[in-house]
Amino acid sequence: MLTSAANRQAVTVNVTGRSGTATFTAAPGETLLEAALRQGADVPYSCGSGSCGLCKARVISGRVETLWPEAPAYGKKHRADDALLCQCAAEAPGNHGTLELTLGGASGAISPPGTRPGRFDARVLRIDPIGDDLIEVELGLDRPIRYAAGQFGLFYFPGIVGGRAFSFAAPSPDTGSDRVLLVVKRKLGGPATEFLFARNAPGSRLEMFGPLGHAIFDPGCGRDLICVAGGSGLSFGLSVMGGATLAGHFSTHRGILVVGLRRPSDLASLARLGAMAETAGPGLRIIIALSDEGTVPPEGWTVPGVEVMQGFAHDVMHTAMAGHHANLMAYVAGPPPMIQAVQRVLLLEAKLPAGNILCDTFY
Amino acid sequence: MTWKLVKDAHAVLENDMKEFEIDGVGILIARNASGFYAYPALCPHMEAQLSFGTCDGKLITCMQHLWQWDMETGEPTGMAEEAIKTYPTKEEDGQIYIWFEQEHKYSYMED
Repeated sequence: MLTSAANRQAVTVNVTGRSGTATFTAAPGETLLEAALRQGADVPYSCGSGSCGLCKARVISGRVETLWPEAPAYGKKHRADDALLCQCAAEAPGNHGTLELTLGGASGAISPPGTRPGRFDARVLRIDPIGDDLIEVELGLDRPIRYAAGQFGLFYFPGIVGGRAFSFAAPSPDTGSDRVLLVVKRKLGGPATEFLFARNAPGSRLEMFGPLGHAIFDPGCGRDLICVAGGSGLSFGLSVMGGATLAGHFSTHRGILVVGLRRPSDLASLARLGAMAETAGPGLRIIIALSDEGTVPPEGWTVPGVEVMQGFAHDVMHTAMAGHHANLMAYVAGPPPMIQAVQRVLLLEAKLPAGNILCDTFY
Repeated sequence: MTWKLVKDAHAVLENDMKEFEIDGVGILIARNASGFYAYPALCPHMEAQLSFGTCDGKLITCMQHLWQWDMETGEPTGMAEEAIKTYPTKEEDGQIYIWFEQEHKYSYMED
């Protein structure tokens, strides 16, 4: 990657947090976050892509190479010895073999090998437009992956520095699968999304690191679920509520899935929502919220089991909850203004504890 | 080093909060049934603007990662790993004053 051949030697990294010190090896050019997670070091993170700042560490001794110094999570006036684990690699020559870091949060625990993420080779198999500047992308992997509903991967594109985070848009089968599905929104000037929106994208090769993410459906949670998904957050909604559907959660618990769209669009995912409604049964209510005023869904656009309502996603969610606020777990993904509006309703109106609200924090 | 008037802070509604500026420093004023409270305007975690968050009369919540604090003491609760600092406040003639010696700083503002 960015390190020259002369510097190609692995560095031993010690990360100290509240729960002790974890030791792992970082390969040349590899981000410290990937190095830690693939070796089971339980370091804190959320977005994995430089936005959230949860993986910020402080360099005690040794040197790091910052792959993306402009990462938003560095903030306006960060200290010179601050290092985002997801944006830094160990700089081999400056370290004399070891790098020492401290973290504000927990670390030190080593997770069992079965749950560790890793690098995959991926190939773009299929890309279909699904409206509102969204595409559905199917990728083939070099080996099967198993992930929890709601998790994501970091995708590395040819010639683009740093990984881009995309949620898996369908729950993984118990046996795992060598195919993954994404929903991607076009970001003008965003090199990764421009790559996928280019006509020649099918057939191209990528790398993926995953699975990642703590905002997951827990089959043992014993709670009713509410999920609000807007824009490309649709993938997170399909994964979380799809996973809960597969687990039979809605035969004993209630669920509401609100999908926020601007207007009726060429939504291939509509069929997926319809299939989810059919499998889940009456325990799950699926509502599409159309935010553009005066939009009327064209004839034949709807599918059985999926309601269509007018309004912003957070208002539609509030109405649909109808005062039923107890024992809820909430999942939110989408554009930041939508996430904040939903959080506001959940905290102030539904009085949900903050710990019961799980958000997809990258966007 | 004195009591400083926070102009218009008395107009903050109960169970609400708003950001003001004193000597070029951002100050968050929150209000509940017991009175007015003052803090630095930015979250101790990642300098997000707390005024974009929520105040329900008991807790202040930052919208960035849902860190929460007891609004009367500044003590962290839930997922928050650090307290928010507070400035003493007083009400006089219907106006709100804070005791402002110097800007409260968090670790990300060091050096």
